[in-house]
Amino acid sequence: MKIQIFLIINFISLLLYSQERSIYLNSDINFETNTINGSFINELLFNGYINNTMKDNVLSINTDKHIVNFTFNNSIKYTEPLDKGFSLNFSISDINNLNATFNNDLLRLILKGNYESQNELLEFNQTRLRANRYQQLKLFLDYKKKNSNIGIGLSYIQGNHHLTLISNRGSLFTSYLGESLDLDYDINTYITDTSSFSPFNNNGNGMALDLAASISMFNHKLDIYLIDLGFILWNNKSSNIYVDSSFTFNGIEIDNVFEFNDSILDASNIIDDYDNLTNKNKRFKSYLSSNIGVRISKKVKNDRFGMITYGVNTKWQPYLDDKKLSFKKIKQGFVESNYKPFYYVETEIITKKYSLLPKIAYGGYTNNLNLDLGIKFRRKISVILGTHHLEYLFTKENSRGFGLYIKLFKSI
Amino acid sequence: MFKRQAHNILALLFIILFVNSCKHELETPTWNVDLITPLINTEINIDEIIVDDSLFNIQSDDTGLVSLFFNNNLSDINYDSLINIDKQVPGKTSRLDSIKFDNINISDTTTMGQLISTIPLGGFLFPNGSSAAIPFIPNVISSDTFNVNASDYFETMTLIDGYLFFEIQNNLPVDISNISCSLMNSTNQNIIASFYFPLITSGTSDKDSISLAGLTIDKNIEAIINNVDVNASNGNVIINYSDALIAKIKLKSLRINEATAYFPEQELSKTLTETSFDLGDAQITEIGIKTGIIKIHLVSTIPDTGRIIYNIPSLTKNGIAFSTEKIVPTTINGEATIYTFDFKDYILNLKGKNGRIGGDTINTIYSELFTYIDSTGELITLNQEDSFYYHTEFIFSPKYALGYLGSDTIEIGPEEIETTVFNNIVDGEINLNNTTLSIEIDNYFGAEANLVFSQFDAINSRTGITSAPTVDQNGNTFIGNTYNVNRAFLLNNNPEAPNILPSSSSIILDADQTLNILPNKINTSFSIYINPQGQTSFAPDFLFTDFPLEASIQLKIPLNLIANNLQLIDTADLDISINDEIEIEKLYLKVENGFPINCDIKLILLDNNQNIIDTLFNNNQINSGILQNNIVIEKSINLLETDNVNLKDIKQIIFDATFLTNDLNEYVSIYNDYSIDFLLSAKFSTQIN
Repeated sequence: MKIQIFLIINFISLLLYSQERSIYLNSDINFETNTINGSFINELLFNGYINNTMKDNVLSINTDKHIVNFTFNNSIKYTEPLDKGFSLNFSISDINNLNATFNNDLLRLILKGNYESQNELLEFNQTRLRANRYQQLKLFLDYKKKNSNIGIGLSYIQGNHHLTLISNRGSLFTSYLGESLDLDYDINTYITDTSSFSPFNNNGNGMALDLAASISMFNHKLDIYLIDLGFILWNNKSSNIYVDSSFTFNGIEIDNVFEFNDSILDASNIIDDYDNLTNKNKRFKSYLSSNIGVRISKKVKNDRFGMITYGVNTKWQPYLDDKKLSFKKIKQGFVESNYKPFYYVETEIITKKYSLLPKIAYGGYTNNLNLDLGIKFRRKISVILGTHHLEYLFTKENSRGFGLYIKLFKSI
Repeated sequence: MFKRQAHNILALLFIILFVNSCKHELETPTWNVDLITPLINTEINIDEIIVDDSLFNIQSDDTGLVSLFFNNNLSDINYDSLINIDKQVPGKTSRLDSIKFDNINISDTTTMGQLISTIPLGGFLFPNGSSAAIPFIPNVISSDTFNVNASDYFETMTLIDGYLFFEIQNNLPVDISNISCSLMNSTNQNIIASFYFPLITSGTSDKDSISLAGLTIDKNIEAIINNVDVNASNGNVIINYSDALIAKIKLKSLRINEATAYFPEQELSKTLTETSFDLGDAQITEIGIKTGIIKIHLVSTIPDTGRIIYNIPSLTKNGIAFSTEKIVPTTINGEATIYTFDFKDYILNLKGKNGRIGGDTINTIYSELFTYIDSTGELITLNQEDSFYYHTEFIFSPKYALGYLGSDTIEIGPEEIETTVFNNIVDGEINLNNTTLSIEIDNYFGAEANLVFSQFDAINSRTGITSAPTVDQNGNTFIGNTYNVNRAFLLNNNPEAPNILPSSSSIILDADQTLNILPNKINTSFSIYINPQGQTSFAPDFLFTDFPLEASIQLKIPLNLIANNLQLIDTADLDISINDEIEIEKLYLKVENGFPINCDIKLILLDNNQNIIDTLFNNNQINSGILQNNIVIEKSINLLETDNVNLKDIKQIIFDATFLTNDLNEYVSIYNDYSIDFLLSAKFSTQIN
């Protein structure tokens, strides 16, 4: 029904007077971390084997908070100019996002095991994992006056799959020669229906709000925006699994060493005794990763350059909870997005047939400078090919991400 | 121009970089991790170390000193056989000649009116009611025949014995004389009998009889009155036509050779029997029956329904004597009909018939068997050969018996007792101290008994060494000595739960030398003599089969020992599957030894074909617990380690352990709180994804 409303509105808008229509296609893949360098990512994504040197390099950073973020988005957008300064944008997006934070001890356990950690307490508190897949249908209405414009958008979200894992407490102590393992953890997991992993399952519905405004003065243009502030309410086939457990494993206790067999080693003999586990179906709400930012653009006097833009972007995405909106929650959303303010400068270098779109940035999910470079071919159908992390191509050791994008644009 | 070329090169370079960055396909990353984890742990105390012999158990004294305790009955004797009853009583036949047949009475009447009608003008001359003088009238009845109909009783009879009585009653007002008559089968006209009466005065009767032995009579008998003369009256007499001559025929005391008749329901035989059982010289007065049956085999040739009533007053249950009634069908091809009666939990009184002449007897059962034939209301042909044959079979197994049990000898053995407790010891020496071997006898019989052992050998079949205890606690030579066992006392004669005070006695033997050979077999044979002195007690003997005379070997081995490189080997089957992707680089075994014995262990891994795959923890010593005053005060901690373990394809593990006490001149004691802890952990290497 919601989709139908959007389509009707869009259809009505198309009936209005229009001057120049355009259509955009966009595909974007981006993998970023704050600690894992390009070599590791290269092995992780392509070569398939992670050796000890690479593990040591990553672990030597020894941060309390490893951040990994992966997005893969595809979208199509149609713009319809309307009368009296109005224009209407309609877009459909397919969005995949994974975001995780964990500390060095957990990464060490994952990469190296516990053998090197004998008589040592590995603590992996505050571990988070969030994975989201959904489609977004957006209608954005823009109103443009001489020196300013303002826009508002509404989105309907069809949620496909979601996983949230929150572990506030976790530790593993391995005693000398593995005589005992002391494991202490809590895990709170929210996961949508696992009976089918069809990519377009409808396991939830949501909505999002866009607000944008700009003003031009003194040869500068100031943009502020809030994009995709919204949520998905997942259906009651979803599960909330909570485990809070603390146990010491001293091996399987056997009564008769002369009658040893597989059944004694049955995992259920070990786990059933320890886990305090609750599993219930319930609806839950997850938030979209919304972008909030500001940018200032200025036209460079040299014709070879387009606008030069300075901006900062932030993300707001709290983990699910039932709290009402408050300043505390606003702050929580910024913190739990795991995204630092992303500062950037970008411009366009214009040639006759194409343009270069360089961008230098700092922040976001990484702690390094990121070099973004795109090349735009102006044809009947304009094409932009680009990478978010040009540095990955030249110095993998110093890069902290890998990303590519392609955009197609045509005026109708 | 140069700028445009530069731009083109830059664009080309960008495209190359972009394409280059896309050249790989995404792959699942893999990496190796090293894990260490405990696998198994176990605490073994002394009762878990002593394994695989159900005859042994662990006992501790007040100090906690552990002893191995062996107990095994020397025999499993079936004492039921002492007084089992299995007897067939010879058969008996009830024949048809004993069948009763009721007397048959038939009569015929000839009235005055009938006689006068035979005289010409008789009715005119002698009207009814008149008074007239009757002259002598010869042959007033001549060749007069009347039928005697016996069809209500029989069709035909051939008789072995019996009598026919013929009587004529003269109710006429005058005398009759020269009375001659005969009886004849109407079918074949054979004369059955002839009678002659010279004179029968008025108002009197006369009769005669003949034997029917050997005669056949039919249901239709013709009575022929050959002659009757009427004598002249003495003056006038009243002529009354209803006055009559009455002829009566009576068949009496019939014994049948063959007959087709309506036989009446009647008792065929009655057999009151005392049956004595041969129980040797035992004199049993009462038996409680554990299992028991009586079978009655019956063969009836009588074409009428036979029936028995069988009473055994000697067999009672809850005070009610056994009684049953059964229909016996006619045999087919001589097959017997067998009736089986279950007497489980009955009490069998063997004192004979209650109130018998001469008083109570022993070993004797009293029973009553009545045989009947039932009338069906049909004509049945029976002959002298028809009979009822039966014989009885008694099979009783006692729950208990009272009375004198008699003198009897029970031979036990040769019997071999196997023990595996020392089987795993393959080398080295062990010195045991203060061991005791005893033969415990508990006599629950109410009779005296003697035991005489003819063999008692402890054998180590691996070394071939045999050892035998020689003397008992009293210095008697054990083999061949007679050990007297007193009778038990019956405190409560409840068959289900008798309260018996047994007579117990022990034969104690020195066993240190016997056990130091580490025997795996004990061979015994002995004899039990019941009532060896005959009947010496005034109280009756008793025997409850669930409470027999028991003799058992009891062996007590205090774990007070010296071990000198005592090597134990045991093999255990292993049924585990190892993931191929997991490589076990190291195994660690932490042993906390709380026993006062040093130990070298190794684990030998075998595959399905008994080939050695690997040997783990080779040449690693586990130290004894820390001793103070011969008591372990602290466990020793021993860490054993082995590399590059190959656990694939393991099907068996050989545990090879060699034990050595610290001082070969000092015994160490094992207490029940001693234990040894094993914790096995492993370092794995595995590839993620």
